[in-house]
Amino acid sequence: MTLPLPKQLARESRTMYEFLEQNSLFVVLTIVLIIWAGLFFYLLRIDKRVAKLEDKS
Amino acid sequence: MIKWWKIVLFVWIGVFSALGIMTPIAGGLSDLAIFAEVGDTRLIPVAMKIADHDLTEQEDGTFLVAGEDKYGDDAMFVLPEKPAGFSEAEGYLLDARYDKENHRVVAAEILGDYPGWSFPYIPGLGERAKIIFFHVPMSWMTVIAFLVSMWFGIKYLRKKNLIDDAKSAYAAGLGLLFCILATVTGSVWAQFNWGTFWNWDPRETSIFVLLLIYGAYFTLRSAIEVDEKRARLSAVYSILAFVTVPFFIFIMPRILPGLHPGSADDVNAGPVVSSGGMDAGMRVILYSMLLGCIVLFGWLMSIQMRVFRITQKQEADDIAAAEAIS
Amino acid sequence: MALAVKPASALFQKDVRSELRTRYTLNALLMFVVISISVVLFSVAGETLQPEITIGMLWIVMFFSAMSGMSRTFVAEEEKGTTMTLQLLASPSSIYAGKLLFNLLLIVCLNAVIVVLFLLTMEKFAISQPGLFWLVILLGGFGIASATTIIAAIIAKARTKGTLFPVLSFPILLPLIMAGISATKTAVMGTTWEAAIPDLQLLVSYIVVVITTSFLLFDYVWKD
Repeated sequence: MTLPLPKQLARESRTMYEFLEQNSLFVVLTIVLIIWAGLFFYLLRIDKRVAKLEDKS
Repeated sequence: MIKWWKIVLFVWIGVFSALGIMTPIAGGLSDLAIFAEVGDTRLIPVAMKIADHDLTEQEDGTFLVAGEDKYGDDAMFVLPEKPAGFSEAEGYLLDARYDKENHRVVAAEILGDYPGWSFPYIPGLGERAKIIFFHVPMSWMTVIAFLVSMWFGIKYLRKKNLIDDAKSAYAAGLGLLFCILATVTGSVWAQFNWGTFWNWDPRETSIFVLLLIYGAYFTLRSAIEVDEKRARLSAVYSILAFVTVPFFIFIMPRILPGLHPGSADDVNAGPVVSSGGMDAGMRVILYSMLLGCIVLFGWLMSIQMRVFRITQKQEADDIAAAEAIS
Repeated sequence: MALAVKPASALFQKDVRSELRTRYTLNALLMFVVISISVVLFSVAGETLQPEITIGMLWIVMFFSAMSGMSRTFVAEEEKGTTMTLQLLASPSSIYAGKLLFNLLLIVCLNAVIVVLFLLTMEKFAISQPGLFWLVILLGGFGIASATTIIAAIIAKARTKGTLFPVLSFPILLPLIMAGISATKTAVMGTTWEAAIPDLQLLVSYIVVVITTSFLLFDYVWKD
């Protein structure tokens, strides 16, 4: 038997997907986050090259 | 020492990202009317200016105010409650729908004060329209990086200087990064706007083709060991890819008349090519973000090239040292 | 840069003669075509296909048989060690012209075989405008040959020759394949000949642009 959830709780337990669907500004923020992650990844690669250079000298 | 322009770049990208994200989206009467026409009762954000600071209380406890929308169209609007500081307020940003019979804007909620600066409401997009400031510069950078890479490829073929080849390769590397970012951000957005991650629309096809070219370019580079040979062949390949793919996939379909959207006989040639399609404020932010991305691209390139030059010098020193011993 | 007709035709005749003597490429390609078409037929197994799908299959078979046939253009010279001799004897443009001619001939024969086999085996595959259809197949073959000749020269200098070839060719050939499929659709299902004009213009300009660029760039690929 399942108890009906209180309205407030039901709203909080919705999935991430539904949350993003209803708050479209957060879709834009997710996209900005993805771009930052990409740039960070690139930064890591440059860092690795510089570290290799330091090891040699 | 940190050079001043790096601070400027950071502030520039930061300020325009913030402007792009935080500027409210507000429609006008015409946007409300579109939904009312088809009987859609959804609430959309509307900016209403108060024309006359005279409230009329109605029987159901709501307040009626004379006003005009952000485009200057007159309409009465209904507020759910009397806001504090009404007599000083210039207007409000409302979550509202349109009452066609009485020509009234009925607000369910007051979202804030009248925004002095806002983006237009685009039906079906809403806040998601703001993706344009982040995703579109990424896809433009993909193409620009491809051009830069080819430019240095040609320069290598003419001057045979390996530094040009390194520049070509790093430009392509950054192009690949931008290409992946444009693809991922675009498909995340498409999932929420169109319901699928990928649906082969012409622009999706073109970014996919660019991804393929970048993939092929790096596969070719990894398959050749001799520096000069690699530089030569990859330069030739990028020129060959440039004369065929962008021209035949992006430009030709626009020149030739056809049935596809964005063809020569179609009015919708895309937001950039057709004039007057985009709000002036959005356009300023988009181009500023693009400029920021170009400078960022140049900066990352210059870091890579500095590392490359030091590596090259180290290798030359090693060879000289080895020769001195023997 | 000078393009001399004589060495180009000599190289073309040499390739044709050596091919006719050994029949290596021809036999292998013929088997490839037969195998790929029979795979299509096995999977279809008597069902009637939508014309769109049949056209897609046709272009897939055409693309991949070109991929297996064209890749050996320059690799064979490298393997036999004749690259150096060729470099001494003729100008790069002549070499390119000779190889291009041979590839054009090869791919036109190949496409003819593929299409005839397709028409024989798929009885329901009716073409409303045969003239346009054959023109598109011919232009498509020319386009594939012109783009893959220089790519074959590029991969002959690389390490992983076989696998690299389709990887490099596909993005370059994509505009041609897209226009070709669209024009073939018009030829098979369309009612007017005029509907295919934009695609035909695209095919012709593709061939012209690719051959011109290849002539300009071949020097850099060919000379070590």
